[in-house]
Amino acid sequence: MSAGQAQPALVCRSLTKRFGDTVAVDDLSFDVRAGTVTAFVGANGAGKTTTMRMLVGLVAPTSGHASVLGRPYRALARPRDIVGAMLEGPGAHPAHRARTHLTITATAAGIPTARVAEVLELVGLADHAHRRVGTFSTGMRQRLALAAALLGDPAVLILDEPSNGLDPPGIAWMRNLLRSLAGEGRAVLVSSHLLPELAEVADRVVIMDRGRLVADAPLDELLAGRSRVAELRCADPAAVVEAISHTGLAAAQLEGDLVVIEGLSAQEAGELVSSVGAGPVHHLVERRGTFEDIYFDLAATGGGGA
Amino acid sequence: MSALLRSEARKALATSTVSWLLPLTAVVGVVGTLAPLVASSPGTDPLSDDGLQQAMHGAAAGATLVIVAGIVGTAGEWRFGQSTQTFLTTPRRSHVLLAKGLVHLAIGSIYGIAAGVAATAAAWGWYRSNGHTLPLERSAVWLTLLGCLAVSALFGVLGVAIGAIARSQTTAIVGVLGWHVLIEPTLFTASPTVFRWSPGMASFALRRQPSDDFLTAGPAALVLVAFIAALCAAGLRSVERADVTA
Ligand SMILES: Nc1ncnc2c1ncn2[C@@H]1O[C@H](COP(=O)(O)OP(=O)(O)OP(=O)(O)O)[C@@H](O)[C@H]1O
Ligand SMILES: [Mg+2]
Repeated sequence: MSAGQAQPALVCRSLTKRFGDTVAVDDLSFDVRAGTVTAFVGANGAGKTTTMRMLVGLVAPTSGHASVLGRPYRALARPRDIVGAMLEGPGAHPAHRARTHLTITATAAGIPTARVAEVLELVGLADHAHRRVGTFSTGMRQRLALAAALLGDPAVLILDEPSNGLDPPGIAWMRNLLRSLAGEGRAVLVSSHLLPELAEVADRVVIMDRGRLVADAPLDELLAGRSRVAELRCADPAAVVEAISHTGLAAAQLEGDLVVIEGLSAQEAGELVSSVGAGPVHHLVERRGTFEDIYFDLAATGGGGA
Repeated sequence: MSALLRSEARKALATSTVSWLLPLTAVVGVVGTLAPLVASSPGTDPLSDDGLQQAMHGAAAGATLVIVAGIVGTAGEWRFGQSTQTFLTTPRRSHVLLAKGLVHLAIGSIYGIAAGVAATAAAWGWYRSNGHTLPLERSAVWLTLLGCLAVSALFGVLGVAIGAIARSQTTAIVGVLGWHVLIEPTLFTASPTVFRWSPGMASFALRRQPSDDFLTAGPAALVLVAFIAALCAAGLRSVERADVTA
């Protein structure tokens, strides 16, 4: 891998993009380093795809700049050998066969066409190489998009919701692939709404909300700052929530008949239920804060960019 | 650049619209050649220069379809997100457009040759069945066929330029057909001295459709080339500035 540890693989500096009156990305700065998986999350319309498209020169920033290994994407001589990007679908003519589509790309990129069969095999499409892309399922289209991203064996990967439409084994396979890509020293920037999936593989988290950066930190660090959470079901959940609202020590909310108490251990929560006479308890677990909790605290205000 | 050319050529060949427009262009060329012969009034001499040009310029009757192929090859990229893949591979968008222009210049030439051969064969048959021989050696025939070929080749580049400007296949095709088939002939009828300078009328002059109102072939060729060059510049600017968001 040519991506050294010294300079970041991807850099966004004060990136801003306006589409007419919409500020899609607003003064965004963050780095992605080699050998790491950086999770890129935020509500629908937060600006993730726009940011990724600016990184690869498809969308021109209104101000600020983006670079890959120290250079703007458009200045790279053989960009496919350096960056593999997967952005919303394979970008193939529906009448083209999968193999034809990749051959067209490989030819223009100066990549030996023998590589086409390799990447089709790698993404599990070898048996469908001769089929027209228009007949592909959502997951197969995703796999084809990934195949194109991997064609040049790039040191940097930019993947926009790669697990979208994949079946459960496909999602597990993607998780392992992301891990091994980073393990080989590549830099991976991956956006997704599947937070538990991302939590399994992410080293670092970049969270956007309405175009702005709201968090950029190692996932461990964000999780370490979280208090524990007790979840329980009991005969009178409303009484428990009511009682906790008076203590001021913890916050409780009802999700259906599930009482979620932030800041209490299981033991403390159980004792509280019996002290207010809300028992019997049917279910009680304690867990640490999750990526999802962090997300809801930091990015849940987006609501589709409203 | 040669890798990019090969890739763009492969892309065009794998697109079925481009392959079925070829025989269609030839068929329209044959119809365009035979129609004036069949419809000519009994008094006209089919062996006069005018008679020959009237027939043979029809070989380029299908050249508009070459524009359509160029539009499909360029604006069509925006339909299915192919432009994303293309510009990821070749971020210098001017190179992509140059390659497309060259590929469609070649496609236009091939269409033009196919239409010219088919139209000549059809005309040869008609002349023969009417007791004449098509005089291929006369400039009224071969210069006309050469003009038809030039128009067809240039229209390939024109299609790429229009597709680059519009970046929407439907808009571009409807716009071109509307202009070339409806608006331009109407304007020309209204004011031949002004609108003989318009690109479509110049293309008729270049393919030697007989008319006293047209420019001569030389200036017509210059007008057409200048017009296409201007559209290429506009198309390049449009594509360079466009945000590729799909
Ligand atoms: N071509 C465009 N023209 C106008 N507005 C656009 C365009 N592309 C994106 N936007 C706007 O920019 C904002 C950010 O969109 P973007 O696609 O980057 O969000 P996202 O974070 O990728 O969302 P999602 O999770 O739904 O994929 C949205 O408000 C969107 O409507
Ligand atoms: Mg998106």
